Amino acid sequence: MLEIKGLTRYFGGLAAVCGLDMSMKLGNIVGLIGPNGAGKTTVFNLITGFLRPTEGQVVFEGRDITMRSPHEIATYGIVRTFQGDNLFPEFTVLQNVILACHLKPGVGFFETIFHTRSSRRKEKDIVNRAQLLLDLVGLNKMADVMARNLAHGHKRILGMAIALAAEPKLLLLDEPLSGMNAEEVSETIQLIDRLWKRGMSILLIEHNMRAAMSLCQKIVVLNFGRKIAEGTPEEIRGNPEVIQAYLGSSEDAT
Amino acid sequence: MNKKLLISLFSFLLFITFLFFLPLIFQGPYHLHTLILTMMNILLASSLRLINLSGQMSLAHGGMMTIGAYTSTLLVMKLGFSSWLSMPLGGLFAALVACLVGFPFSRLKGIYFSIVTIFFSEMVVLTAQQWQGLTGGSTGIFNIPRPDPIKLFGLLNLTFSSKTDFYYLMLTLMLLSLLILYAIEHSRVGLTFLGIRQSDSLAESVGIPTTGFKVLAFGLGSFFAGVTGGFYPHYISAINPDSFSFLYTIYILIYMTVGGEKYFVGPILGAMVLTLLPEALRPLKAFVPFFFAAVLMAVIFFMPEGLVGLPGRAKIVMDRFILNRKRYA
Amino acid sequence: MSLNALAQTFLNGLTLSGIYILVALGLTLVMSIMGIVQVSHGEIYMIGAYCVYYLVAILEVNFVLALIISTLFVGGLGIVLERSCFRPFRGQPDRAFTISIALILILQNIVLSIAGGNPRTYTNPITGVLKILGIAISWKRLIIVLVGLGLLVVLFLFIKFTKTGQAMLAISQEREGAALQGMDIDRISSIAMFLGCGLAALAGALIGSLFSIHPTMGSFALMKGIAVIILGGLGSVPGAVMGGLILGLVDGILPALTTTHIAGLVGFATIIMILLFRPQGLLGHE
Repeated sequence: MLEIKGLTRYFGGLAAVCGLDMSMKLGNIVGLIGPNGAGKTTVFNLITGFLRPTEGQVVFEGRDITMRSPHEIATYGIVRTFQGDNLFPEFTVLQNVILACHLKPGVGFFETIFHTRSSRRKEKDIVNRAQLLLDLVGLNKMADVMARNLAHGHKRILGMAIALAAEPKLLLLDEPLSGMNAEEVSETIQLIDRLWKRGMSILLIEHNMRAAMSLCQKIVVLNFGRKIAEGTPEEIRGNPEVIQAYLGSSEDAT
Repeated sequence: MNKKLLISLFSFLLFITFLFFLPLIFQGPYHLHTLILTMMNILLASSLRLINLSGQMSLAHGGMMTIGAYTSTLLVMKLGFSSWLSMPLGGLFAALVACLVGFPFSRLKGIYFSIVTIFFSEMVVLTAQQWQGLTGGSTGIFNIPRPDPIKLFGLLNLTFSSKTDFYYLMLTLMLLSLLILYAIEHSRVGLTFLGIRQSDSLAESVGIPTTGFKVLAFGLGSFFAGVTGGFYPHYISAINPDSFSFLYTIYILIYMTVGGEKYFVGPILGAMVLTLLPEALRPLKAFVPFFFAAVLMAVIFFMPEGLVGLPGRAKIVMDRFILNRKRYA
Repeated sequence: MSLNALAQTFLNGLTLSGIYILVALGLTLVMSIMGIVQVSHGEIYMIGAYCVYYLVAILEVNFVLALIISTLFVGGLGIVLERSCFRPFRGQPDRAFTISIALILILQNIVLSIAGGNPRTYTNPITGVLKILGIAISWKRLIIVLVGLGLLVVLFLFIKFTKTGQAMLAISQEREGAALQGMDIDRISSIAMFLGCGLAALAGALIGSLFSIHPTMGSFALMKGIAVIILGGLGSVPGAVMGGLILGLVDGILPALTTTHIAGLVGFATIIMILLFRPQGLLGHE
């Protein structure tokens, strides 16, 4: 469903991503791993339109999305999460998700301003959907908490809920487990697993190697912007070049 | 409907009734003029806040007013339009211009957007000065006709020969506009504006066309500036390129900031206090600018949420005081 | 256009360049080091002019001495403003911007209430003309170009060869990093504000020797200062010089060919274009 051909992006004279080819099938979880500064987040930015590639092509479901803007790409069904806390901090958890349901409602400008009956009905649907989503990710008890007051782990989960609210076909998760405690990690892994069982395709950047290995059907390893290996978790585990890349940097490959 | 909402609705209605009978108390043309200016400022500051909701600090309000004012004036004087049509058209034209320039401008972040809107305003003024055949150059246009009279079965007879009639016109305009502004803010569109202000990358990532919404906010806010600008020349009967100078825009910004931009009533309160109080201090005319400056400084230094946040802050201080008393009692 | 008229137009442009460079240099120092948009810079410029007016026209102080006193006084005012108004809001550019807007009103009204709204003039004792190749050049204008050039050299040497200058350069390029390296941002900000305000005051005082002064003259200087900075890139001294030179010449020469309004329109349109398509300025790099 997603096909990347020769993706390249230069910053100044440096190639952050260079000639990347990869593809993923519908309903798969693919991991994108590599040492710090390998260009993983840049790949996300290139796929979702936040950066324009210098060269190369991104094709999603047979459609070339290379030069599209991020919001268009979201309407095609690719939605990403961000590293760190990128939330609407002054909104409640519920409002965060409600706003992210932007794509579904089809509430017209004048409808929403004049609070017509149809708009109220649609808004009610959205609130219901948002609440279901919060049930799914386990934030339902915190629906009325201001996002900036959430604990770090909950912020990360809210980030995922926001992305899910846009109803992606392909979900791009940027280090979903970072900064979580052991319990939150296992909950989030279960959540990702549940999403996958519902048929969602997921592309995952993760530093937690054990989690990546257990979740993904396929793993792509980047180093200095180039793909150095691709294969099943077992193949990657035994790949000498990957081991070299990780040992060569200070990254611990646990 | 809960009790709190009922109370606020009731007090709102009471306030409107009060405004409606105000000209019976203040009959002098000077007082009425001040009240009309106050309402203009309320409308301008509130519409500026709408743009601000989307995270853009526009300083083009003066320019947009100028566009609205000239559009309305010229439509009436050169093309014979009714002023009832020309005033909203002035607003629409300002909104159109705002949308056209908004697309490139909204690429600029933060303060650079503000700077470019300042330059845009200056360009509007220069255009009005240059285009003498149409705008009368720097001297402007005089003897602009009053709005056409409204006659309604003998019930209502507004000829706009007195300030009272203009007061009611402006009151209607203001209330209607505030209603629309309130509705926009509390709709999904308003929610989207606020979301974009907090994180436009996140908004964009879930499929919100942020550029479009930013331009929409700029266009909507500019529409109300244009309408207010359109009203003004028919009221004053003259217009020139400097009628709405950069300084005027700055004042509008200050009304909004002093009142408290976080709240809908903020700019309303700010415009009221800062337009009416200096008039009340008129015997001490020389000190008015300093009073103005003092209020402004006090708000910036001690009231980050503006005058609206004052009761809340007072409560915090009081609570702390009471707590301390208890502790030492 | 005769050769003489052409030369005069060119000299007018250069005079404006001198003023723009002084204003923009100060503004770029303040903006890049303090990380704020100082929109009351124009009022500082206006106060510089009024100081000289009071010293020369009322107290009958020597013009050159008045220039120096005014520059130092307004520079000191800059330090006061930095300490009282901008330091509490470091790292909050939005609120500092509001403060700066408030200062426009406050400073303008203070001058308005003291000096009144009528335009004022003062005479510059430097008169006479310099004749080069049969072209008469008024010393009044030439002095502005020379002062601009002289200060430029001084500022350049200051930044290049003093420790404080180097620290200023470092802070203007990377604020957080400089703070981490233990640079005294308080002190550097004060110095930047002193220099910036002093330069603006000097520019205002010099323009007052050519034209009449009034309390609202500052917005012109602010617009031009910002335009020059956009042209040359924020925080860049060579950029401010080049930008000031270009804009001054354009503003001096273009009105002679069309009207002042059209010249202004062209100027603003150009700046907006640059901001949209080359936001790092003509000389800046990504």
